[in-house]
Amino acid sequence: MSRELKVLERHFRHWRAKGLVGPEQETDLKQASAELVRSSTSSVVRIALGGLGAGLLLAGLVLIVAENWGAIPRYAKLGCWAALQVGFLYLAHWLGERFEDRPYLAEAFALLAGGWVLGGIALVSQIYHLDSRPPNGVWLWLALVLPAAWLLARRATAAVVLTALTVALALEVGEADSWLRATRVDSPWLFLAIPILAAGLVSWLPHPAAWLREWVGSWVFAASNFFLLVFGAVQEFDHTSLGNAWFLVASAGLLGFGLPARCLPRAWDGLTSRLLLALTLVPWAILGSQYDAGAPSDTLAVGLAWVIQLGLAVLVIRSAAQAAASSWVNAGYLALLAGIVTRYFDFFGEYLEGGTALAATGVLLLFILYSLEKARRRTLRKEALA
Amino acid sequence: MKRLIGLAVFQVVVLLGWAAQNEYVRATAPTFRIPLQPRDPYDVLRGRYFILNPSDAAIKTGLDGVLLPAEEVKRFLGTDVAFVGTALVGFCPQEQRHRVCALARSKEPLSGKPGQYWSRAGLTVRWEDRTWRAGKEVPEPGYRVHVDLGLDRFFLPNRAVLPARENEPGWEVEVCHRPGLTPLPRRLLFKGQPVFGD
Repeated sequence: MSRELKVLERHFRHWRAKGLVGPEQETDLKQASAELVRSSTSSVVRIALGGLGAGLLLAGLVLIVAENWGAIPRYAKLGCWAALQVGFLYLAHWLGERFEDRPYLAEAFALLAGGWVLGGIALVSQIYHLDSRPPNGVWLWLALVLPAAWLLARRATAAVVLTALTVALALEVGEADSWLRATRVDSPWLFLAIPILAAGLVSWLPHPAAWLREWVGSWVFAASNFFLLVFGAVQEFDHTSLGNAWFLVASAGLLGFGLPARCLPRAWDGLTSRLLLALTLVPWAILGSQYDAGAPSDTLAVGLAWVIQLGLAVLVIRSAAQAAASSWVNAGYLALLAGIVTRYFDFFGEYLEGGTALAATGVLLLFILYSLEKARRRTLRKEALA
Repeated sequence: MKRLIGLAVFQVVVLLGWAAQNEYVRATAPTFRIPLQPRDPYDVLRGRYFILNPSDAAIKTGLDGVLLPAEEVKRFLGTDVAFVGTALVGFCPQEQRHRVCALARSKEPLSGKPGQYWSRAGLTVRWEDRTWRAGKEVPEPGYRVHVDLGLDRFFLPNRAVLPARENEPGWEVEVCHRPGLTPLPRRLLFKGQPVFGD
C-alpha cells in the first residue's frame, strides 16, 4: 500500500468512527483515489525515465564533443556558442510568456543563458590562450550579464550576477597587481564581507531574488561558525593583512549593519543579523593581525570565540523560531551540536585513552544528541503553535 | 522582444568581437619566438595544457646566456633599490629567438633603446648577493629579475602526441607582438618546427 493510501485509510477510520461515510461511499471513494494514485505513480516513473534518458543523451553528446574538441574548427565552436546563447535567451523569454503558471522553466533557461556567457568567455580564452588574469574574465562576465537584469526580467539573472560579482571580488583580492589585493586572509573579514556586499548590491536590481538572501545567510552562518570553531580549537591563524580590501570590508559592514534586510535571511531579525556579524568579528578585532599565545588579549579572544559560537547558534534558533523558519532552527541546533562536540574534544581529547573513556564519550555524545534533538522538536512544536 | 534582441546582440557581438580582434592580431601582427621551459600537466576541468614558463621568466644578470645586462637594470632602477609593478620589457633577437634584453618604465620613451619588440609585463627587480645552488648558499652577486609576460598556459588537444618530453630543451612559443600589451601566443614549436596552433 502506498503512503498516500495509508494516510487515506487512517482518515477513513476517523470518518467511519464519526459516522461521516457509509461502507458503499467508502468503497467508491477508495477506488477513485486508487486510480488517482496509480496514474500519479506512473507519471512520476515516466518523468524519471524521460529525465534519465535525456541526461544520458546529453552526457553522451558532451563526451563526443569533448573527445573531438581539438578537431572542431574554432569558427564552428564560436558559432555554436553564439547560436546556443541566442537560443537560451529566446527560450527564457518565450517560455516565460507561453507558460506563465510555470515560471521555473523560463528561470532555468535564464540561468543557463547567464552561465553560457561565462562558457563563451572561457571558449575565447582557450582558443587564443588568454588566461593571464582570471578576474578580468569574470568582470567581463558580469558586464555582459548585467544588462539582462533589466532586459530579461528573470530572477535567475540576479543569481548569476551575484555569483559573478562574488567570484570577481574574491579573485581580485588574490591578484598581485590588484588595488584590492589582500596578502593574508586567514580570518572571517573577507569571507563574510564579499558575499554580503555582493548580495546587498544585487538586491537593488530590478528583479531581485529573495532566496539569494537565504544562500548568503547560509554562507555567512557556516563561515562564522567555521572560523570561530577552528580559532577556538587550534588558535593557529597567520597574519591578517587586508591591504586595500578593507574597502570591501567597510562597504559590506555598512550594508550588513545598516540594511541587513537587503543581504541577510528573512528569518534573522535586524538585531540577530547585526549581532551575528559583530560578534563573529569580535575575536579578530581583539586579536589584531596574529595570534600570540602569551598575550592576555589573544587568550581572551580565544575564550570569546568559544562562547560566541554557541551564543550565535542560540540567537539564530531564537530568531528563526519567532519567524517560523524550521530550516534555520535546524541549522542553529546543528551549530550548537558542532560547538559542544568540538569543545568537548578540545578540553578532554588528550585524556581520552583506553576503551572505557571512549565508551563513556560515546554515551555522553549520544545523550547530548538526544537532549538537543528533544529541544529541537520542542522548539519546532512551539513554532508550529505560534 | 526588441529588448531581448538587443541583449542577445550585445552579448554575442561583444564576445565574437573580442575573438575577431584576436584573429586580426594573429593575421597582421609581427611575430617572434620566446624560448620555454614548459611543464605538461593535466586537470579535469581545464583539460590538457602546457604551463609555458618562458626561460626569461626568472633572470639573474651576469649568468651565461642571459641577454639582460646589469647596467641596463641599474639604469632602469635609477635611484630605486628595487621595483615591483608593471613595466615594459624589450626583446632582442638571438639565434632566431627573442630574449629579454632591456627594461623600461611604462611612460619612458623607447627610441634608441636596444629592444626590437616591447611588451608589457609584471616585473620584480631586486639585488641579490647570494643564491642557492644544489642545496648550498653560494655567492652570486647580480640583479634578480622576475618577468611575468602573461604567457601562462597553452591548451593542447587531449590526444596530442608531443615530439619530445617537456623537459627537453628546444620548446618555443611563437607570439604576436601587440605594442605596449602582453604578447599573444600563437604557435607552439619544438626545435623550430610547429607542433600546435596556427
